[in-house]
Amino acid sequence: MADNTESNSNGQTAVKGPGKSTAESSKPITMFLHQEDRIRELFKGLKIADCSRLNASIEEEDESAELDNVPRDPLVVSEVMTCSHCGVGFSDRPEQVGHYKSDFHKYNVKRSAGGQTALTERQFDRLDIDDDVLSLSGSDSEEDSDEDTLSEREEGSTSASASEETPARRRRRRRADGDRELQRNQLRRHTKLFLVNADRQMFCLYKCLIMSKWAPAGDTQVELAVKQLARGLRVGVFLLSGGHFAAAVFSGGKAVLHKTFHSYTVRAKQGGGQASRDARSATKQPRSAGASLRRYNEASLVQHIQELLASWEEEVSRCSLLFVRALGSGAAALYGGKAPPLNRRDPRIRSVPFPTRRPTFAELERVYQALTCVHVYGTDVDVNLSQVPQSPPKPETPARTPRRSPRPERPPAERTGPPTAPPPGRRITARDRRNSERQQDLERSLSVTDSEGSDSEMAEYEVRQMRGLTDLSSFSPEEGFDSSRPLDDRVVTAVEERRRRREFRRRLREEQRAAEVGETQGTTDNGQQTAAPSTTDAEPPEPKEPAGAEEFRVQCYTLCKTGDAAGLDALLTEPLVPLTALLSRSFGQTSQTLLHAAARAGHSALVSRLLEVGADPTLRDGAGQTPYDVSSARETRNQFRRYRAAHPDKHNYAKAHIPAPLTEEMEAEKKQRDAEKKKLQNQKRKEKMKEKKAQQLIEEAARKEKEKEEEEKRRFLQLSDREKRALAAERRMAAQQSGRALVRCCHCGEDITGRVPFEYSGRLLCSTACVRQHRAATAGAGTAA
Amino acid sequence: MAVRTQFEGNNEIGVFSNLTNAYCLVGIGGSENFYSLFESELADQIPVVHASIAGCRIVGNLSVGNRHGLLIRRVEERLSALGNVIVCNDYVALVHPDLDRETEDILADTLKVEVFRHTLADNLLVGSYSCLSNQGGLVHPKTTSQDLDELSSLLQVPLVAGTVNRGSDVLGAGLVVNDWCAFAGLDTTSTELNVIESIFKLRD
Repeated sequence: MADNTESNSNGQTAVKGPGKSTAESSKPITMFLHQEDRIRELFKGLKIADCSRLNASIEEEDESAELDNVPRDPLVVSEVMTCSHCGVGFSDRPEQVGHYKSDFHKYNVKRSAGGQTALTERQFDRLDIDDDVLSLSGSDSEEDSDEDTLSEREEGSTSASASEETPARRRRRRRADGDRELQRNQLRRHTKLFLVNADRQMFCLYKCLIMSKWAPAGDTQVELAVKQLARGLRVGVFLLSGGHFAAAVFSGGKAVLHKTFHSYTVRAKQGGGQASRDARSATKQPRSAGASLRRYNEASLVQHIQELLASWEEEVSRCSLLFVRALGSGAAALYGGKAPPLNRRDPRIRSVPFPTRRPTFAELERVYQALTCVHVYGTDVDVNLSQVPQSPPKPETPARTPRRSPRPERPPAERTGPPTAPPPGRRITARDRRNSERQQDLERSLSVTDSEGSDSEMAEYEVRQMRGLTDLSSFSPEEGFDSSRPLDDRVVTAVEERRRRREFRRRLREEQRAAEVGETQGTTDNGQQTAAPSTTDAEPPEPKEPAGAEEFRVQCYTLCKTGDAAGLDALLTEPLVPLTALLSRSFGQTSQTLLHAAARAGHSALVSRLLEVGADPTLRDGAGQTPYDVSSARETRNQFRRYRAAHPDKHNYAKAHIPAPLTEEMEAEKKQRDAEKKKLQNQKRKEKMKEKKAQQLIEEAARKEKEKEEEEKRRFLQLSDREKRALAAERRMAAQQSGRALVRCCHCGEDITGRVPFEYSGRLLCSTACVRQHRAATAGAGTAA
Repeated sequence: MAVRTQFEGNNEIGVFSNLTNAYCLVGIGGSENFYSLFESELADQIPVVHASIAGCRIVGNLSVGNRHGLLIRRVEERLSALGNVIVCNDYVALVHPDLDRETEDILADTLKVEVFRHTLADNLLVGSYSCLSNQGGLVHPKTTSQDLDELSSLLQVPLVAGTVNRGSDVLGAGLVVNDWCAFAGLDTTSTELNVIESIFKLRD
């Protein structure tokens, strides 16, 4: 793909003088390597251009490998006075320290940290003049991490005021950096090598002339190799495909030797060589006369080629480069056989880095010219990809493109132009069309929402402000924040709007159908219903409107939202627009009618007023809800039901989702029922309270009893044994009189009246445990005593 | 003399300590093991101090110092982990290329060092990937030998590329060293310790 320049420039090889190069830098000048004088002139002081400088690591690795061979003594301070970052050497310590502290070194260190190649001192000086690099040691790496001043100048935007960097600019710059990095990578991988000479002329030639894949080379080797090219070049070109063979040895721009021949090996109509067809299956090989003929021809072609090349051996061996294009089974003719004409690992062998056509002598010449031409871009050009022919980007869905003959490629010279308009050859796909439609649609609906949605919202907000309404609780969030809604939101709104409209149209159709059915059945369904949708449709512009109609509508809507019944009445007494149209019109991004707005905000008085003047409760909003559905308060809902009771046949209440009507008697009845219920509940509650109190009293008594007993116990325990006994006797006596319990355990003081006590040395105890404890206590006291 | 140790089971002892020729800072640990090892090795010559910086025990990461002084930066600032971005001995310092000029000046004044901006094997955190004393230095294992030579001649100390803690390249965290003593993480192999002892001239 990349070669198309050659095929183009081939025709107009009229070579211009180098003097013109600066004047016309956009179109490269073509020279050929065999024009030795001019080439020598051009190659003076050549260097690899920055854009296609190889990764320096190759060189470094080579050097370090060499150094590794010489074992370094780690325990000695080395005396290497260089800086490999910047490629500088020093003679003494002060110079070295000076360099390491210089901005040049710091700058290069930062560059290498950012994965960029280092600048030479000269480049840096140029940069230094252009740019204030003194700030580079600051910690703001963003500002100076990138330098490509040349291209940056071209962009122009960055030079405006570098001092303050807005996030947007930084983002833009970062994107530009990314692009530049990508471009640089692409240039580095480009089939051509870009060089600059001492006159700072930029020129390029094919990399394959210099480098082979067998011997990767560093920058300096490459530069040397390029200089070698100026000293005459002898090139062999061998092309073999489809039974056509063409070979030539060129020197000094002319073919010294050449030969082409052709034999019938390609299968007619099916395509492909006979050998490759045979290779497809080990057993099932065509045995037709044609097949065997082709087989024979293939073998003889190989033989011919090998014979020819054997006779050319001397000439070929003198060539410095051999360009070979032979694919598949053809390669065997050149590299295979008992005495292969070419050695596959010969460092001179290169492949042709661009597509070739049928091997003929003309094609050989074209290949030779293309390979040996040098494009001179001019002085001080920064080569970017737009000047370099490149393959077009891959299509997004290559798998789905049907197999068809390749589209005619536009010549690269045109392709490099700015991609403003789609190329004429490009077919507009359905997908594109859909995209653009969507875009337009979105834009259209955007403008619609802007004009009606947010305007009314704003107006309402203003009214609120004006009237000093501080009750924000009635403000639903979507209303409150509409005025400051960001653009993204509006897009969402626009999509919603579109959906709503679709829904609306569908509903319209439905209702019309329903109305028709109603008419045929002869029901008393009102005619307003059929009339209403036709007026509601916002799509067709109304024939003529008095001035300020829109404002009037918005005002009505706002009043409905804020609940100003009096204000609305005042407006509706002399409406600027037909009342039915106004009442069935939808507002805002939720596309609600006035009735919706009033119901949602819970203004029941307003709801009843609107219903009185003929608002249709069956209309639905954007979410498909009727006003009854969106009402926020019971009172509002009741208002709807009351209306239903008052006008039982006016609307289709089932459609309006309004449940059973609410008459005055029903309300009175309900009131009575509610009162009774409440009474009953009160009664119940009182009873419960009483019960609870009684329970509490009982508990209290029990607690007091227990406390008393505890107190008694404690007091008894504090008594001495003698007193206990005395008390027991007293109690016994008292019991004889009163019959109350008297005997208590000597140890724990429990009441043991009526129980058989454990007796031990005259003491009465309640249990064996108490006996044991008492004994232990007395024994302890005894021993202590 | 190189010693292997651990800080509460962590081999990155350089994070929790800062050793110079004039003092040694040790992070406040749960146990005194770490501290007492440093004390037993160093207490005769230099003070060993329990320390925390901004409530953090990672004193090695947050500070940089030599016998002339100690430098700490406010934690809120950029590149505040000075231990990671600066490596120095008593004469020279290697710093992160992005460090601001002000800090560089303060560094030169306080620690009385010559300051060079450089990278080590394409790593910007020179403090993390190297360890330096007046006797020698250990740098990131991927440093090329040319870089080693250049740096060695720049810093005027012998340098070697090596590892600690069984192959860790984070030398600054795995190793603290002064002119007569070195402490390495417990995982450090004897081969690694050998290299450390020879380059820092710690053999008696």
